[in-house]
Amino acid sequence: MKRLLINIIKYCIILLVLFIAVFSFHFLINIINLTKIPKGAIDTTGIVNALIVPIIVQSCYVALLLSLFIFNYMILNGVYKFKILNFFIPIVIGSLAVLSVSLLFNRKINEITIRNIKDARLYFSEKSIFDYKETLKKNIEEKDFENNVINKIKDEKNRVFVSRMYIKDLYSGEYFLNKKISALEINKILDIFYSIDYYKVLKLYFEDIRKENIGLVKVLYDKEFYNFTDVKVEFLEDKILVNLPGLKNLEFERNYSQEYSSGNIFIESILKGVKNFPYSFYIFDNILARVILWFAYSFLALSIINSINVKLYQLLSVSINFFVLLFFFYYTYSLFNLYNVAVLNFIPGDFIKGITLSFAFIITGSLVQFGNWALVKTGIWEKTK
Amino acid sequence: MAKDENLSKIYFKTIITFFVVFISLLLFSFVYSNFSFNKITFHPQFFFDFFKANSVVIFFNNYFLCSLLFLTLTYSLVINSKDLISKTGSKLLFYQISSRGLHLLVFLTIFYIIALEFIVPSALEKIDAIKNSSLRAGISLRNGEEAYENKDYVEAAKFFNEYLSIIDDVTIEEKFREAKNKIVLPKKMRSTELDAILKSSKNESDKLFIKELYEKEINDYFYLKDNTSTEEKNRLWSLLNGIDYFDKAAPIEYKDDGLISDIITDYGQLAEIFFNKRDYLTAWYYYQYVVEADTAKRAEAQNKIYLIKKALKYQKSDFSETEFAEFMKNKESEIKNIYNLKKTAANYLNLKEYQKAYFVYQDILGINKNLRDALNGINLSRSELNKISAEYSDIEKAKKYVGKRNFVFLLDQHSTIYIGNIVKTYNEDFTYTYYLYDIKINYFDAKTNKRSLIKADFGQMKTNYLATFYCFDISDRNREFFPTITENGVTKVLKDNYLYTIPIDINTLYNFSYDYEKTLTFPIVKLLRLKNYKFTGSNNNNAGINMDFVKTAILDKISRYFILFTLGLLTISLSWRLRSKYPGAFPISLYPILLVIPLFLYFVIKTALYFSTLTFSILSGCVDFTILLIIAVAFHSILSAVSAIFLAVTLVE
Repeated sequence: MKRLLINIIKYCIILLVLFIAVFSFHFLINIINLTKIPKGAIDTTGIVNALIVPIIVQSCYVALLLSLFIFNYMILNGVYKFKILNFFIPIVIGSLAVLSVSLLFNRKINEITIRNIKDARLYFSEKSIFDYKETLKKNIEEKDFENNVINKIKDEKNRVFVSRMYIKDLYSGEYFLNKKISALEINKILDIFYSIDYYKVLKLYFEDIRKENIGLVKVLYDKEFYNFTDVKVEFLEDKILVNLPGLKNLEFERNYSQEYSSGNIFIESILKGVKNFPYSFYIFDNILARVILWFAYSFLALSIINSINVKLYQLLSVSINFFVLLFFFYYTYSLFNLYNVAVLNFIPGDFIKGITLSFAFIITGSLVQFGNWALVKTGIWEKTK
Repeated sequence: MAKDENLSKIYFKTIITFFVVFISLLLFSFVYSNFSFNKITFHPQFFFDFFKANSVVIFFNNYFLCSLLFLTLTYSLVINSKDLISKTGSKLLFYQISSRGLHLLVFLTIFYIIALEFIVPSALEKIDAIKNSSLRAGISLRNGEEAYENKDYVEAAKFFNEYLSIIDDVTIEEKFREAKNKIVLPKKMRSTELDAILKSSKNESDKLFIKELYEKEINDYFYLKDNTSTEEKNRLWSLLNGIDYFDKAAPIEYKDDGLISDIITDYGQLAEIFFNKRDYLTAWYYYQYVVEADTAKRAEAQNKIYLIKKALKYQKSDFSETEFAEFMKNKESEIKNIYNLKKTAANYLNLKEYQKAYFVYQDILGINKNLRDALNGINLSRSELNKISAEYSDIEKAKKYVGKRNFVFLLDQHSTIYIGNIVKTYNEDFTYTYYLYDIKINYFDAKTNKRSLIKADFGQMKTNYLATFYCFDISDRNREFFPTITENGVTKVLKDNYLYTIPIDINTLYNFSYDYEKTLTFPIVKLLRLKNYKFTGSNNNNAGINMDFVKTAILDKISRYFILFTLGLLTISLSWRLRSKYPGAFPISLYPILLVIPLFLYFVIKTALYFSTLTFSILSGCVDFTILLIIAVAFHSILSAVSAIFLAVTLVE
């Protein structure tokens, strides 16, 4: 029992260290941006609600999932007595942490986003010419696509590539963008569209950026210059809209200004997916459902992580589990969202939805545990090791 | 002793793994480089140069991953529990086991810094140079073949010659020879023309060769000898081509026969010299000037003109009286015409209308090509034109090269410039010229309303900062391109205002891009210079170019060196803690699963680098560079220290 207590303390330390690390990183890169806003213009209460609370909530969920992975290797794998009790340490403490955070900061999904600060100064750099990247059209009319896109692409390979990415809808005649398109493919299509002048080059220069408007916008569009003064900036859920009257409506992602890519679009897209993980549990707007869901979710996650255990070569287990962890980070939000949409008409209320999903996780987790136990008991698992 | 044996075995295994991993990487780089050779972008002749440079780039692109892979394999798989059991039972300490790996990690980190600072940038430059040469060769070949098909053999030979200066190609050499054979070489030359060619030839043997070919003189003409061999024709073509004999465009500098010293500028003296040379018409022109301008020498000059007329009468003894009178009338009118044209040209020169002056002087030289002042005038006009204008044929030629598109920057607070396309062409002497296309400058008033728009179809950089938007055609006096200005709906041609100073060095502008990955390949010294780059006359707005990404690149690059070292330390200790028990414990049938490990390392590296770039890109916009540099170095030093402690506390069992 003493050992159990030590393990509980150890886990709490792991969780705390992870939380501090994730929180510090989040805090640093988000708070430092506030220096762009003049001192007097910062609304402290607003900042706490829009920045500090979301950072705490998000860091908490990220640290909780990471802690399962680390707990498995630092503690659980070395435990032989009270294994089941030890197994539930991170699950129970994690659920308590979720309960505390939910009670302390009872927020809705849109209130835990760090992008909540509606101040244009955070998202744009002043006095810097930058390229505006169009959003790829989801559907293009038949004639437009054939005359202005396909017929203008001279390179055969590119023509085939674009034709493959836009699929003709036989009923409407329109061409629809393939839904399974990757970030790399989107970039390639955009490059092709710019090269054939289907999209016109648009460059922007902002001066005198204020909270919800920009004093001066210089625009180069289709080789012509335009100036706009006092341009209004609108903030949507995850987008920023800048309307240039009579010219174009611009749409930007609500990310802090990083005007250049780090060069690895694949890694970038994966890490962007990871960013969505903390929102997953807020799809269900009910504290109890969230706590039970975390309990079930962590049970499933830890069962899987714990089952992948190549004892003769632990590094291999760590490597495989790293990808399992990445999978959890990347797909949880999509999975919860998909479930939420799928059961919309069948299960009423977020609480029931959450409980049902938790139930499914517990069953799956138990099956994984049973499978692991059965394989070990029958000696099959031992043999493969 | 037994302990030493164990250690030697461990060190041997470490070194062997190191060589196996890095030799495998080298082989992979060679194979990948071989398959990534693109025959469209690079000429096959450059295969080996490309192969070497590209292999270096690929090797160092994967160097980070392979360094960690080497440490992982060494400490988690290759060195195993059996290696630790000594005969005497004495226990090894972890610092002893890991010492070779640590030495190699230090070496790998230092070599990584050297590679990224010196080796990779030079390899990338080499690839760029190969790309440029391939492009130049491709264009020359295409133009040469086009000219050959159009039976323009002079042009074809020139392009083939340029192609052959880059690429050794027997087929094109043959075609080049054929083109040269088809060029009609001058059958006869005037003595003055031959003298000029001889003077231009640098080599004595070349002079002798030309003299031998044109040794037959009839009536002041030298004739090309009959039965000239193909080899002789080829050599003659090369010599004449070398002195721009075949250039359809006007020469850069007009020359007289060079027999009269440049110091002599006095018209009386010149008249005397030309009189003695029996160039009576030129002498007449100068004496006529003396008659009109110098009262003291008027009588003498008039007497000389009288003698010239008599000499001409003698020269034209086969003319009838009427014919001679007509001839003299024509010559007198020619001289008058030259005077008028000279006045017009001088007037244009005063008004700085060099293009007009140039063509008037050309007209004068069309009448008499020996007139010293006309030669000086045309050379002066051309030299002034060179300073202020672009030449149309050069602009058209440059269009065939691949340029860079859509440049935008601020000239000052109220004006913005757009350049649709900039082409950089390399000259034969390895200098280069920038040509600009589709230029627009917008001026705005204080209320940011459009005040005026300047448009120019063509331009050329005359210095790194000075651009001209005026272009003339040396083969057509009526073709000139000036910028236009549109104000209040009225468009005017800007005949006097076509020189513009841009706030950015054209080299920087052309090579500058927000391509962060490319910027990361620059050495830190170069990045530091770029960071401190000052944009002239841009009123502190840096021409609209944000240099924060250069700051990020410097910090990111320094971080990469630290990250390699820190991750290396962590890898050694983690690999040891998570190592395989003993060889053979892991079933060979499951070895393919081991591929997960490099994949895992790849993700770890890329994630670390992603967060490094993300952090610095956000911080560089808000924090002063020096402070950020201190923070970065301090943060990474702490991380390295923590990793070192983590390594130090690693136990053998």
